[in-house]
Amino acid sequence: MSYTSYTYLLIFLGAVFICYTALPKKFKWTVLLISSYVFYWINSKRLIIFLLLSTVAVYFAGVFLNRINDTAALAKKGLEKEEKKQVKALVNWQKRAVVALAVGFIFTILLVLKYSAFFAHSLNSAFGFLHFEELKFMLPLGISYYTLQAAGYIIDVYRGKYRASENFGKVALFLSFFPQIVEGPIGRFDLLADPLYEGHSFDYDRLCKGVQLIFWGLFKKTVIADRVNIFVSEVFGSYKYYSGSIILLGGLLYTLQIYAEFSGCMDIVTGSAEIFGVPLSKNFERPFFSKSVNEFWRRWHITLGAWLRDYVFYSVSLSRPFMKLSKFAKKHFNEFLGSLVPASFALFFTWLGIGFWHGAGWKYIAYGLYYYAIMTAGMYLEPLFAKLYSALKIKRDSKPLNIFRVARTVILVVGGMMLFRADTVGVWVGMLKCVFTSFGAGGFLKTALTLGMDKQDFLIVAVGAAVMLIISILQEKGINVRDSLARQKLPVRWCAYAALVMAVVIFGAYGPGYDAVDFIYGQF
Amino acid sequence: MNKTGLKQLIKALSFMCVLLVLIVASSYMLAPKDNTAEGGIVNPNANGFFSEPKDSIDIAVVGNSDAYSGFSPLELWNEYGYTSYVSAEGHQTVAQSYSQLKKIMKCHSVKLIILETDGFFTRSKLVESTAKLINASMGSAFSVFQYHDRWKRVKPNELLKAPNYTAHCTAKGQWLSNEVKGYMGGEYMVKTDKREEIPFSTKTSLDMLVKMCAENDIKLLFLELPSQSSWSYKRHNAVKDYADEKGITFLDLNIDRESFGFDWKTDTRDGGNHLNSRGARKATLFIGKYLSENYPLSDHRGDNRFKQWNADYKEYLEKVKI
Repeated sequence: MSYTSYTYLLIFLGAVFICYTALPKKFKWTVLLISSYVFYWINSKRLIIFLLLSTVAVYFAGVFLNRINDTAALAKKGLEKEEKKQVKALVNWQKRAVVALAVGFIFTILLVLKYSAFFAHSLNSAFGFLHFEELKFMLPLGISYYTLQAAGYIIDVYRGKYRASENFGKVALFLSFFPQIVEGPIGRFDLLADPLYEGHSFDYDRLCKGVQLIFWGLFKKTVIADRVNIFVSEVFGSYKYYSGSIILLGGLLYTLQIYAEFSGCMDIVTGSAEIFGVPLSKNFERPFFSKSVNEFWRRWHITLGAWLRDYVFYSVSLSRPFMKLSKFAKKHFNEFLGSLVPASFALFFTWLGIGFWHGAGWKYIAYGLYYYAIMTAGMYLEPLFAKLYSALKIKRDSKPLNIFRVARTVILVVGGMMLFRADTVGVWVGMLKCVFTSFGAGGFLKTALTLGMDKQDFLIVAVGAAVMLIISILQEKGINVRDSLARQKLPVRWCAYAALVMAVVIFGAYGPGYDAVDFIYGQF
Repeated sequence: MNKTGLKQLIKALSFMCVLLVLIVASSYMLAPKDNTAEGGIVNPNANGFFSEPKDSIDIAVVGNSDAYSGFSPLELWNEYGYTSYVSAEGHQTVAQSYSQLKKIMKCHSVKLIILETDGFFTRSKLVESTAKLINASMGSAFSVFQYHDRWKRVKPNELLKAPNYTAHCTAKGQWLSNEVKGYMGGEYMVKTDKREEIPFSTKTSLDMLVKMCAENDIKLLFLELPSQSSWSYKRHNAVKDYADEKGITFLDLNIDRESFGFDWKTDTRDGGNHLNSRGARKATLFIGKYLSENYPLSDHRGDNRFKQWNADYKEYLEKVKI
């Protein structure tokens, strides 16, 4: 049941909303829990067992951590300082063991189901004498998302950020909430718990706003992303037959597709959750206005980046071996390198994590390392750039330089997206080679119009992308487009809303002649 | 409900009305104005009934590829003078048959509906079949959901034009095939008491279809044309149970095939899945005989208004080589 299907939008969401509105406040969260499990069952059937297993592990780990903390607090009363230290050490050891077991358990499920074939294949290829069976498992829906969310929850409890919930149903809802289970955003318990559990009465404005956001997401997904899918599939599937200019267009359109689709999906799910008064975390903040790749990743898939920062980067940075490395670097290098070497070491694990999280394949690891290489190069070359700007008397915040930086970031991101979409790293290299060595702009238009998109398709994609761009520019200037529109007179508002709905109905790539396109990020 | 609530309700309903008007208007503007492939209609063969003279079709045949391969309206015409149209499509589900019938009933006062039963067992999950049912209903109620993509081709002067259906489907929806690829395997209709369950969603659509026939005083006949690869006795039993429960006649041509001279070696085009024109002729003549004995259908052969059918039959004979 896709988020863009009538079944989800008209029947499922409608029925859940009616039940949620009809039930008394204290039972409302149970409607969300039951509907989330129904949604999961419909999409994943028996694989729901893995979601349950992770939920049980995390729930009990949380309860154990609470007990350990409570017992320690009691035990510490009346003790001397030295004895308190001993208790603390013992408690820390126990807590670490509980967290390690729970996180280890849920990550083992993820690793076995998602990565065992990849590991077996890699080992078999590297060592000819090994013959591990390359087992491929069906992946439970959203396993990469709920595993991170579950791990984040239990690590936060361990770190004392909040107390674990002792209500199994509530933990189960936090991990399975249907709008975010397929593609995130990866939620944090301290932000989600209250809105999820407190129950909200019917609110007309909230309902309208949620529905508007859903339609805006549908516009991005069906009008823009799905329309370019045939072209992109053809170019990436048979790039050898096409000139570099067509491959470049394929890369640009894929970048547009993945952005329109992923951010469109986030709008649909954020709108769905908004109807129930649950604000989901922001996952995008106009990433294509970024002046550096670093900034791009702070604006793209924000919750994944934040998760890796909080639970990988910081964990690595605060680990003993890393501290030792840091000390060593500061002692043996100058100040600049002394802080940079350890940081690039910690970043390596973060980017390896990002690449590996996206999929079980070398190209995904290469995808993570591609960005790692760009970022570390930027960090190490920073003094050089500073000297260059100073020599050329270029102001660092001048408009032309910023435009150049944005364009440079877009080019680097398109390169990364092409790697992400290409079948293998070899294919990606082949495509880039074509772009640089046989651009072949002659006959470009003629060929472009034979790859599944006609003139009208290009026109509608261009108009759709322009609408997205205009709205992004307004938002970048600090204008809240939704609120501004809501302040307009009724005829203006209604014209805008009706135009949005009709654009989806008429210009959406659905129905006869179109295959339903699964969400790209739903496959991770 | 307080004053604010009432105001909000009125506002929401008014906006829905605006949307409804837009959807109805765009449905009218984007709907194909002709039932030819060039006119943009989906499955022109199955939609040829639009251009048959009004109320000239007495029998509507719906179902999947088994139906358009194995039922010959022109053989039925030639032998019994009954007018029929096969509005079948590949993988047509019962939900889709239902919406197709609704379209037919707008143009013709159908006396009998023949529903090919192979589509009862189209395997799809509950959610998928529900989605298909909703899609079919949305497309049937507002053609913009089915034909929205015509914005690319529609000319400005076509937008407000009334439909003018011009396609002439000589074979009346039948897929003519002179191919012969016989089935050489063993008997597949082995008697059993077991049943293959008709999916819940199919039953829901079936119930709607049965109700629609009852409300419009249209007779309904379940028909299973010979198909070695898709039919079985378990399916026969399941359909028979449902038909008996609803008081519907079920004609299964997989049983007692010898009675109408059917031969798997010569009457199939693809090794036992679909019938060829010869198989369709044999099956249709058998069905025609049954209809003539059990249904009060009119023989239009002497009626001047139907003389085109004779010309179509001649053309049909020229195309059928087996």
